[in-house]
Amino acid sequence: MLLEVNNVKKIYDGFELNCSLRVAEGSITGLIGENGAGKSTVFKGIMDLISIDGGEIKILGADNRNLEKNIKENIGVVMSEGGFCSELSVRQIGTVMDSIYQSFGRRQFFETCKRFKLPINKKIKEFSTGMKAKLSLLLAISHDARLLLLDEPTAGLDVVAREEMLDILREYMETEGRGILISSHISSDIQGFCDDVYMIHEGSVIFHEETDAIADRYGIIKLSDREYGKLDKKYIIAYVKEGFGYKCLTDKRQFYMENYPKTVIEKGSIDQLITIMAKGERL
Amino acid sequence: MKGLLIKDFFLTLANRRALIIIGIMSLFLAVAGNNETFIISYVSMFSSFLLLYTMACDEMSHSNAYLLTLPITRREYVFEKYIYGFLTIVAGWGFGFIICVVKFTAERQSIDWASWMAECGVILAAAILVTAVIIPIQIKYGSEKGRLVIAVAILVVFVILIVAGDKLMEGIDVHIMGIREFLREMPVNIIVLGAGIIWLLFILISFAASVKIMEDKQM
Repeated sequence: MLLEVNNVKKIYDGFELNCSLRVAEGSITGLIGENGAGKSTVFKGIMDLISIDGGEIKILGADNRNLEKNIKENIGVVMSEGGFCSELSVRQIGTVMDSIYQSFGRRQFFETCKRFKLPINKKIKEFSTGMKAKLSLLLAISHDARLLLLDEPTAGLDVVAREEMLDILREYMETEGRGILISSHISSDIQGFCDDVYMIHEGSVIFHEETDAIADRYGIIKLSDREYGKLDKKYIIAYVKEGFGYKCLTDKRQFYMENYPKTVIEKGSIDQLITIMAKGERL
Repeated sequence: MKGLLIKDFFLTLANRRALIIIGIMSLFLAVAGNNETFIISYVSMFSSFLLLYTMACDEMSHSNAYLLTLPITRREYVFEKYIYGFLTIVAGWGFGFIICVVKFTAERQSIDWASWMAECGVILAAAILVTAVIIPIQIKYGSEKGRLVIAVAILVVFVILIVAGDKLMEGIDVHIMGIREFLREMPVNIIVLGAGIIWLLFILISFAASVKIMEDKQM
């Protein structure tokens, strides 16, 4: 297991984080949730940037507190806020990284930067949002890390730039033994890219499932008030009351398709899942 | 730590305006003024601001949190700031020293080199000491709040000295006289060694405090 977060607690005034999650070798795990749900707190806790009030975190088998340098060498991080000072240029950052990491591929890093049209000698402060995001990601994968921790790496990017970044990550995952934990509030990033997904809401993990299963087994059932009253709710996970009636989330779409053939049942999507799990009532 | 030193060096190069101001002002003071001690003090103290600039950069872009996700410990981060701070001060001090030596030579001044060197040594030690006071405050409060804390601390010391200075001096007058007498009888070497040990202890206490603040800091 590359990453294990076991019953981690972090208590702030008016906010409590309760989180357990795992990232296995060869898998891409998504962390979704609304803004302020606690995604960045999870990442900060994992990297020991904040102290935790309970539970334990293991990265590459080691306790996350006071990680040895050789363990940190194997972790690549993109923070939602934070990176190298924007007064530096890519060339200068490359030199700095070369002195920090033993396995930093300086030449390859500059070549990849050129491939993604990042000017080597310009200061980062002159970069667009997309260029900054690409640079952060290229830095995270530049030193042959086994585990990538990516907090909102695609935030603020257009569709083309997002797809480019996901391509970089797909290429990264071609090497065996690697894994990624990625957070995003853009469902398409997670749906087509991750193997499994955790949903965090108001500090707690309320849902974990493989993304294929969401598409294959999950469904959204749209019902009038009368239909909802008659519905067998055995396999309903959550529902939300809307203007026309009810929207229900199920993990047994096939069951409802067979038993309620006249009812509108849509395939499960992460967007719908977030909406119903976060805003609705869980059964 | 090498990587952090390189990063801060690049940030200092990016702060060209400050470097140019330091250079021009010291040359101006050398040409127009007559106080060589002031030139060295000025350049040394201004050089310590170069460190503060790197700390402000780290803080503004959340770079300090990001750097801790790299193979760098909190202790290393703090240690590098002390080393870089001392290096910039020594570099500034050296620059001021060279300017003064050039000025002495150009003006053909006769200098008591031993006492001049001692004076320069005290300035260097004082500049490093001031930096050692500033670093933990900067780490604890950040650059904006830190500046305010330093300003308030200086103000408080001044107010105490102005309001209660006379009474304070009356109270400790006897002791000061005693200390003065005691020091007069001591060999110079011992005094220098004692001052050096106290100076070093202060730096070590400052470093330990900075490490503790950094280790407790929630990024």
